[in-house]
Amino acid sequence: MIPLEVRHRVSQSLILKNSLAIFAAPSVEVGPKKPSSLTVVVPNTTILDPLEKIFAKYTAEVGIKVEIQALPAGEEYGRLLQTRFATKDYPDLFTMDPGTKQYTKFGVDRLLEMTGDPLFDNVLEASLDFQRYQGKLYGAPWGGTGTYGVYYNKDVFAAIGAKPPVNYADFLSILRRAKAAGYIPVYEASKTEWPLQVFSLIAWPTFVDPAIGDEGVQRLEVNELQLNQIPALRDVFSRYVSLRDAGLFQSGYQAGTYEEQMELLATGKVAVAFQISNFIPSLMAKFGQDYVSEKIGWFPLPSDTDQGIAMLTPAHQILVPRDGKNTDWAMDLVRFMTKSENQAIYFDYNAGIPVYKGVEKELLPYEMDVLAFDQAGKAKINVQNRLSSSFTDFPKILQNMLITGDVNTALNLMDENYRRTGKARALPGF
Amino acid sequence: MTISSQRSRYPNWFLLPTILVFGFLFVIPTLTSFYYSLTDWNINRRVITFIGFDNFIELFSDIKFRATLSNTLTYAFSVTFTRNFLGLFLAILLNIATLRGKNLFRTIIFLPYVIAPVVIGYLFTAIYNPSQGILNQGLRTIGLGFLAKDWLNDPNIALFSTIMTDVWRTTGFSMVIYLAGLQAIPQELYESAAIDGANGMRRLAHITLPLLAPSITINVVLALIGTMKVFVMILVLTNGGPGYATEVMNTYIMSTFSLGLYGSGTAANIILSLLIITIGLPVLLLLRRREVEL
Repeated sequence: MIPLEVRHRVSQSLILKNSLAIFAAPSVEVGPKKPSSLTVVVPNTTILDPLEKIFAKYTAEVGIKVEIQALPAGEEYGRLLQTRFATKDYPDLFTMDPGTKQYTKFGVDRLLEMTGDPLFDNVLEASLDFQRYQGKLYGAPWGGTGTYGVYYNKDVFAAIGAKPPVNYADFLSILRRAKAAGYIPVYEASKTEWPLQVFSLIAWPTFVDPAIGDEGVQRLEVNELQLNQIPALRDVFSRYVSLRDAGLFQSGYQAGTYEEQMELLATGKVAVAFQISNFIPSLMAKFGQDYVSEKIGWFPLPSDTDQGIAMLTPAHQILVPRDGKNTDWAMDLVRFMTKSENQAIYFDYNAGIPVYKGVEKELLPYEMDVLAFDQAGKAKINVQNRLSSSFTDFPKILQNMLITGDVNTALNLMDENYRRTGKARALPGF
Repeated sequence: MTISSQRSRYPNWFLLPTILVFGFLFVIPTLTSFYYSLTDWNINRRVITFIGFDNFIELFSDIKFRATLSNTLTYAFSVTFTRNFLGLFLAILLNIATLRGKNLFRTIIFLPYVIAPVVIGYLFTAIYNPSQGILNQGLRTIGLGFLAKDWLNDPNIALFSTIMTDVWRTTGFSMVIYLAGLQAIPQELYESAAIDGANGMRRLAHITLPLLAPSITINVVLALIGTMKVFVMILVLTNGGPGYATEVMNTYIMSTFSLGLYGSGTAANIILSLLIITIGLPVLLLLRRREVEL
């Protein structure tokens, strides 16, 4: 959930200036040998400008150069880092998606434990809810709370006389009207693969969570419930295939790419796209903040009876390999990166709702909408961030499902991979 | 021990360095990988446990793996047959003594084989582009627009498109081997057959093909082994997609290793090796039996 402090900040633009004494000086002046440089690994989808600014400041203050290594994003990113761990080729620090599954992916005994570090004094407590593994912290939050959802073009909606849907039937009706008016109702970036996950993930809080509850998710966590035994998830997959069957995807959707999806949504050729909030900074980089704020809206996937539940993603995190060469200095850099003023630099270039105290950020219109859902108690964290195993190979499974229309096979494969990954990570219950 | 027996064993010592290198670099890794295929070795485990044939059982129960096996065999047999058929046809055509410019044609047809598969992959990604690719543009220009397809993204034809790309790349290589074989056949045999009244088809069936048998053996076996191990071409053209439509053994193995499932990936690798031996060896023996000594 979005922390209360952030909610207040929206209306009051409050400034919670924490004492920066805890960040004032590196704690390692007389400790380990100072390295000439530190290596930071990030996915290649990261906007590098704020990092470069923050690292330039760090170099000026501390005298250590910071080298950024951008690796291919998506599942490949985690795999490449796992390979580096296996070969003991550790970066000094790296950023990762949120959630405890990242800890189990690398192994908690291979990550530097950060529990009790002063940097967490400056973090809004609620944002750490999905970051504690067996009561311990292994990552420092990086960036802000985001959301997945249905992003729509406001001009297209205006042209067909539509407003954000009040239920799923209304949603389908809007898509049909968009099609009838000559727009592409839904653009799916099937060739890019990873965006295919978004529909199922935003449908989870709306359709699956109410059916299985938090208890069901806990049972999934310990492998007492199988994914292919959840009728609501089967229903979600069926709804997705139905969209394709109803001709609501663009023609030749298998060739759809992320870049084209952005372009066509922003320019009013497409009514909606199922996307993640990182989509917005990418759009802004291309079309400008004002244009995107004016043209692009957001809503959660509606349920059969109401507007649905918003899906939130916690902030990303910075991890430090326990056996890295410069762990003390790496932690020093983590503390520097998470200082309020440096977080502010991050938000000059990125969307999201800050999780560090004292960071001022004007929320975008779509973020205000997300906030409204959260304040109404209608928001849930991405299920992927509530589980320690992973939905491995999920985009490919969905791509195959859209080809064959075989929902049961997709569910079985998803379940098989989830349990196989849990077993490989030696998680309790698997 | 007599001096003569010592002398007869003496040359064996020269084999020792080769045997050692072969043993360390091939035999030991092969045996080790077989052992690892029987373990739960993965990126998250510090302790490796022997699990018998569990990895193999899991693989054969995996729908994706079964699709992969089927695609690999379809790819291998289709490319092998087509490139050999075309290679032989072109070799016979370009072996006609009176044909003008035959050396130029031979060079042009062989050229794709010397280009790196990764480059060809990217080249054909552009050629197959549904809207701007020259294949569809060409079809539309000559009034065959109804044949224009989304060659790499339509799951029904994506595998066919990758097969044709590999055929285009490797036909020249098969042609060169067939040409060498054709040029080794004595002309007297054709002259005698002509005097006896044999027409072109009979000469092809009773002289050319039997005496080309060694070339056919080499071409077929090399093509089968090479295509069952296909990787780069698929990776660049389709990355195994859409869905599992073009997933082949080596892309499956790569993704398994990428997931850190080393035991399972090694098991898949063992299956690929066994598949190549199981198919390649009988084909080799069968074709060798049909070879004719000149």
